Amino acid sequence: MLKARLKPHGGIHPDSHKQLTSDKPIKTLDTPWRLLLPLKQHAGAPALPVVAVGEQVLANQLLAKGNGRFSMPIHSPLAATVTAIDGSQITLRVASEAQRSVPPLARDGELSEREQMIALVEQAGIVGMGGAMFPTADKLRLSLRHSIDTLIINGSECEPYLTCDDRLMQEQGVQILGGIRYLMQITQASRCFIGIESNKPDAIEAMESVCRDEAGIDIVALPALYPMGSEKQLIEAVTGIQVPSGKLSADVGVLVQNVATCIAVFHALRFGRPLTHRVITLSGDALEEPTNVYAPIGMPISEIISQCGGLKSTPERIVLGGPMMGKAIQNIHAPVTKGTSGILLLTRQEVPHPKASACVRCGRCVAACPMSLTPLDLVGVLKQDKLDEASSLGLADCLLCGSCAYVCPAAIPLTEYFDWGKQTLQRQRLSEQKSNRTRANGDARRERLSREAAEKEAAKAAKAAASPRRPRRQTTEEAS
Amino acid sequence: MNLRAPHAHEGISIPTLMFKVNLALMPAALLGIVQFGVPALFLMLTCLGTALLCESACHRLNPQAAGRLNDGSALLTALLLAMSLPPHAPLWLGALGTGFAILFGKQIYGGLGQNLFNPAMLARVVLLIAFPVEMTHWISPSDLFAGHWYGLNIDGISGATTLGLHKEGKEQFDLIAHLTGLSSGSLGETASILLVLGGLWLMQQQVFTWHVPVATLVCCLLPGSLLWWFDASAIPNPLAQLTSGGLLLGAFFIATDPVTSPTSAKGKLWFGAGLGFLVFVIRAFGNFPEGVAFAVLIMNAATPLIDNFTRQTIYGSTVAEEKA
Repeated sequence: MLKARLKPHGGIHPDSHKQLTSDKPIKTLDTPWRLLLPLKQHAGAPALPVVAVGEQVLANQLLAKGNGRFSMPIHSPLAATVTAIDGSQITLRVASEAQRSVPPLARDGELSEREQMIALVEQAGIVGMGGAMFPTADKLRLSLRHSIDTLIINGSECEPYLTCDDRLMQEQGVQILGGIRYLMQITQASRCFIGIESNKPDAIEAMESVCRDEAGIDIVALPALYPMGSEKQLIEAVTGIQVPSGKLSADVGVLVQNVATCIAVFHALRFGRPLTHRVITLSGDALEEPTNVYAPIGMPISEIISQCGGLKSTPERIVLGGPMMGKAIQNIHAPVTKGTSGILLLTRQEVPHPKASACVRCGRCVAACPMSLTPLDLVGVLKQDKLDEASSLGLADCLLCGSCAYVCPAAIPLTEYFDWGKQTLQRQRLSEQKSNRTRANGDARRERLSREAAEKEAAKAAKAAASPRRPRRQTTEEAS
Repeated sequence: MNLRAPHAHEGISIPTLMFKVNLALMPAALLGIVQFGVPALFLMLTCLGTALLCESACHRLNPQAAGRLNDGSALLTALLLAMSLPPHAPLWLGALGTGFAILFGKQIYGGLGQNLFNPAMLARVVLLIAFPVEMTHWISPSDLFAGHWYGLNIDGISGATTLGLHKEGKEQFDLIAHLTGLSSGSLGETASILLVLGGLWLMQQQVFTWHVPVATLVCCLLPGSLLWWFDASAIPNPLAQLTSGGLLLGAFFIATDPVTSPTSAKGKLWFGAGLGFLVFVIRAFGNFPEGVAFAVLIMNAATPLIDNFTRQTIYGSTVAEEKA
C-alpha cells in the first residue's frame, strides 16, 4: 500500500454518516413492475429512441441510440413492453414471464484491437458512474491521441453517506481487477493506482488482497478529505502533479476511472453486457433500513424504498447523489439513472437550516477551496455581473464541489452563484463560437461568390476570345 | 427554501461566532469590573446599551443594512471599546465612543462586514485625540483579597501604566500583577492570563486561526527584545511588552476581526506581522506609550492591498503558465 504523495490544498471534513450503510452488503432487488428510462443519462444530447410504443423488448435490448457527441445508447434492463415514449423518457412495463435477453454485444472485427474495445464500451452505453456521467468511451479515446502512462481507479468516495463504491471494492474486487486489466490494455498505461480514502480500511484490505500478485497495480491510501474524489485533486494526491488549468488529465498522461465504471467495462468486454444495472447507496435517517442495493437503471425511487423497509418518517429532502453535490428532487417516483450513486432521504435534523447573514470576510471559503480560488471575491464580482473579472479570478476552474458553501458561516449560497456564473460563461462562449462560425461562413460564401463570378467572367472572356469575331463585329456595325 | 447543493453545512453561523468571541472576552471583562469597581461596571453597561440603541436606530433608518441587531456584532464592538477605555472614564465618553463606533465605524458603510476599519479601534483613537486627559486617567486596581476589593472603588487611586511610566523614564514591572490583572491599564487589558486563555479557546473552537495572533506577537516581541537587549532604557523588558498595554487584547481579539483583516492565510500572516512591528515602532519611538489602536487602523487600511498581493495560486495555473 502506498501513501498519497501530498495532501491537496483546502477541502473539508464533513460528518461522513457512512456508518449507516458501510456494513450493509449489496442487496439485489426484486423485479419492479415498471421502469422509467430518461433519454439523457450522459453529458451530450438526449438519445434517440429506436423502439415504438407497444413493442416487446428483451433484456439488454437497445432502446435508444446515441445522438452525436457525448451521447450514449440506452438499453432495457429487463424484458418489458414499451408503454410510452415522450421527449425525455421511455416508460416500460416489465414482463411478468421469464426474462429473456438479446445476444451479447459483439466486437467489430474491422477495427484495431484497442478501438474494438472502445467501440464496445460505447455500444454498452457506459458513462462515468461517479456522478458526472461523462461517456467512458470518449474518455478512453483520449488514450489513442495522448500517451497515457498512469491509470487511476477512483475509489475515494469522498461524499458523505455514500458507501456503494466501498461495498463494491469489498465484494467485487476481482471484477474491478478484471476491468483494470482491460482498461490498462486499452489505455496502454504502464501502472495503475487504486486510490481509496483511509477511512475505508476494509476496502483497502480487500483490494490489497486481490491485487497482491499484480505487477504495476498499487493501492494508494488517500487522506479522508472532501473532495478527494474530484479528478484533479485525486491526480494531485496520487501523482503529485497538477493538471494545468483548462487542460485534460490525459494531457499529463493520466486517466481516471471510477470503480463502478471499471466493473461496467469488465462486464461489457468480458460478457458483452450493456450497462443496465448499478449499485446505489440508499441512506438517510428517514429510512427504516438504509442499505446498498443493486437496482436496474430506471427503477423508480419509491419502489426501491418500498423494497427496503420503507420510510420511518417523512423526509425533509430527497437527494440524488451525495449531499455535497447531489440534486434535490421533489418527485419520489423519479427513476435512478446511470449516474445515481446514492438516494438520500434526509430528515429535518440532517438538512442544514443555516441563518443567512452578511459576509464578514472571514476567509473560511478561501481556506476550504480545493482549487485555491477566492470564493468571497468571486461572489462579489458575480453580484455585479462582472463575468470577465470573474473568469480572471478563475471561475472556470470552480468544481462546484460546495466546500465553500459548506463552511460559510453567513450561509451565502456560493455554489449557486458559481453555477450560474459558469453556465453564463459557457453560454457566452457558445454564442461567440456560433457567431464566429456564422461570420466565417459568411466570409467563405462571399469569397466563393466573388471567386465564382470571377471564374464566370474569365470563362466568358475566354469563350469570347475563342469564338470567331465576325458575328459580333457585324452586330456592332448594325447597331451603329 | 434553498434546494441547491450542498445539502450539508458545518453548522457554524455568524451569531455563533460573535457569541463565542463575546463569551471568551467575558472573564477578562468581569475581572476588570471586580478590580476597578462600580464605575467600570457602569461604563461597560453604558457602552453596551448605546451600541444596541445606535444599531437598532440604524437598522430602522436603513432596512437594507447588512447584519441584524441580535447577531452580537454590535455588542462585541461595544465590549471591545469598553475594555480598551480607562476603567473610570466618564460615562458620556463611553457613550460617545460607542455611538461613534457604531454609526461612523460600521453602519455608515452599510452594516456588518462592510467597514474598512475596526469600529472599536476607530472610536478609541477618536476619543484619544479628542479627549486626551480623560483617556489617560488610569486607576490602580484594588488588591485582590485585601479586604476592600468588593468595595465600590468609586474614588479610585490614580496610577500610571507600566508602558506610560517607562516613557517617563521610571521602571516598574511586576510580572505576577500583569498576569493576574493587578496592574493598571484599560478596563479589560490587564489580565493577561485570561486574555490568552480566551484567545486559545477561540482558536480551539475554530473561530479564528493562529496566523494573526502568532504573527503579531512574534513581530512585536522579536524586534522589541532585540532593542531591549541593546538598550534597556529604550523599551521595557519583553515580558512587560507582552503583558502590559493592549498587545494581547489586540492580537487575539481585535486584529482577528475577520471584516478588517485579510482573508488568506498568507495575508493574515503579513497583516499580523505588520501590526506587531507597528506596535513595536510606536512603543519604542513614538510619542504615545501605546500604539495598538493606531497600528490596527493602519493595517486595516492596508488590508485590501494585502488581499490583492496574497491571492492564492489557483490549482493548475502555475503549470499552465510554465507550459505556455
